Amino acid sequence: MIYYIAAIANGFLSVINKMVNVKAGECLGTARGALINYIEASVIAFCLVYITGKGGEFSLSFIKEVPLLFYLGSVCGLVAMIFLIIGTKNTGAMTSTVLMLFGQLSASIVLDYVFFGTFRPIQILGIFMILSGIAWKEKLRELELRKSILMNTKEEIE
Amino acid sequence: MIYFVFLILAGIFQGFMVSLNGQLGNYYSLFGVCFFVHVIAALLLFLYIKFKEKKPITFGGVPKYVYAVGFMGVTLVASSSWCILHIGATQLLSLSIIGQMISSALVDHFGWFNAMKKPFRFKQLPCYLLVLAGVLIVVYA
Repeated sequence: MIYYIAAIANGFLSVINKMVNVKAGECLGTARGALINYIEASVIAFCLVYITGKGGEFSLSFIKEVPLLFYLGSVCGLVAMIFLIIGTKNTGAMTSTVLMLFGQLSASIVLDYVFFGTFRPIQILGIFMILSGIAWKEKLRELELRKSILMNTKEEIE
Repeated sequence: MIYFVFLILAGIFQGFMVSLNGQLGNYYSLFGVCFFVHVIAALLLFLYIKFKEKKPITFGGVPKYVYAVGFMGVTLVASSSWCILHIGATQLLSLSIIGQMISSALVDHFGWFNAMKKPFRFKQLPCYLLVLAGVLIVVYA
């Protein structure tokens, strides 16, 4: 149960984090806004590793023991960010949200199968429902946005 | 059409990122995972800014709360790596969508972070319930 709560809290915090990152991007530019996040987080994590007595993790022999592939998570994150920026610029918010989630959830199903050997076909139905719900919500949001723009234009004309 | 492929690829790479960070948790402590994830990204971005943009790097002139972003980054990576090792990437991502929808609704409703106020409407409720049902199927299937 605690993992489920932590996962929901993770999603909650990720939106707040995104908003703060957007603010940082507005003030410093996208790249510098992201860089401040990565530098700060690296320093904090470095200190926490030593505070929790796990400093041995930074020895070269230990670092070499870990398969190189597992270090590539951040590279994937940066590649994702580039694709996301290009894709979102040329499509709508709804399309980008739904397609990105589709890719994310499909990849996670495949990777769970590869790393943990778990796959339940009914999960595909669940993912389809999640995507439909998000698409529906985004559609409503778009309609409201259009409505408010129309009303504002009408008021200005009057 | 190509942009649709880009967006799906963005999602796939994000899925890979979350999953690989989780796998790193088999070797390192949660904070060790955070360190490697962030330091590699910082190095790559630093090189990009230095060689591509060729401009000096400064971090001044931002609202004070922006400096909390690093703490949030550590919390996010640590919690996602911890959860992935116990419940897997699919369940983590599905559950985190619930959290994202709640916080997005709150940000929109109250206009936090200078966002435009968009009050919650009850006609949005079926969308949330559909997502919730989908998440429950993924989690309890």
